[in-house]
Amino acid sequence: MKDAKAEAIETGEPNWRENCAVEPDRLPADIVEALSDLYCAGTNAYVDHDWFDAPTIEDAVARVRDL
Amino acid sequence: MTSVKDFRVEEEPTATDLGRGRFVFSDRYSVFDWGEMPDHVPNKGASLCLMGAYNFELLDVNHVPTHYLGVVEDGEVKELGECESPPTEMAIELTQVPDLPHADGAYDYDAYHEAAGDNYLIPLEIVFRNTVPVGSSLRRRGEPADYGLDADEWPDEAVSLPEPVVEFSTKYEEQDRYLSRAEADDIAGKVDLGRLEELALAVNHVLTERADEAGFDHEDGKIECLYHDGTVKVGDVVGTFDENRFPTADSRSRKRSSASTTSASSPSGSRP
Repeated sequence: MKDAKAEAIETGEPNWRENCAVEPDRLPADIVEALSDLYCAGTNAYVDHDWFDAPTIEDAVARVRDL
Repeated sequence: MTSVKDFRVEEEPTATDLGRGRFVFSDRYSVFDWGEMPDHVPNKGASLCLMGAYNFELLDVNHVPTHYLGVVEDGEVKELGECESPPTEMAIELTQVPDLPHADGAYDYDAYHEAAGDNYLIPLEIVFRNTVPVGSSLRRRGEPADYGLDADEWPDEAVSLPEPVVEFSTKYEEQDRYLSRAEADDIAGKVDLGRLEELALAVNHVLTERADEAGFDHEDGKIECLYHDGTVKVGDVVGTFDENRFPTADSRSRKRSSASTTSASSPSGSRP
């Protein structure tokens, strides 16, 4: 990615992403779930209301940290 | 760069009047500088919409003007408190976004403002910071003393700023860049940079207070603004886990170095 960006800066060409060789991978299911829980738990905590069915923020954070 | 929220026009803005639109928050996520990733994260969209709406309503109570009109449930625009379940759609006022011509390696902001008149999206991102982590690009742009810190060098850990720092970067350039005050002032057009700074600090204050009450720190965030007929309003979405960094009290006491909880999980990563 760095090479493509460097080249783009040199040539002034805006569409550098097309020159990148690497495609992003899919994440494993447990990571996706942990992320989902984190967004939901975090929002529940921030707005001080359990809009989402999610673990506590402490549990959600711990789970992500353990990944 | 791909956006993780979709945008819909309900009523087009005119040269003089604001229109109406919708943000539809998806479960997609993107990584800084690349774009959309292949996965969807369940409830991410609803979480961002809810937090964004909550913050807009908080800003309203604090007399900070925004483009927020409400959230949408069952086809009706309503306040968050009237919703039965987390909304994924937000109603907003719309302004004009003229083309930003790009030729010979330069962007033509004069053309932008010519078309913009008195009704336009200000083509800047206004970043506010309360702390400066180890990886922050702010460290390259200035010395600690420039930001009121009593140190000759940047320490090997995150540092809290005595006063929040506001910076401006471009929004519509292919490689967005931080700007000097003079450049930002130019790009802002007829809008006074001081007013933008004032709004950024007001938003930062409201979010930081809310975060603190909820057990989070608030490291940094950004706003975008629109100008209409003499009034500057906060636009886009404010104070979500994708746009801002809200480390929990737990991570705050255990780890004083850069990685916050949300920058570990938030695919948009750290703020450069």
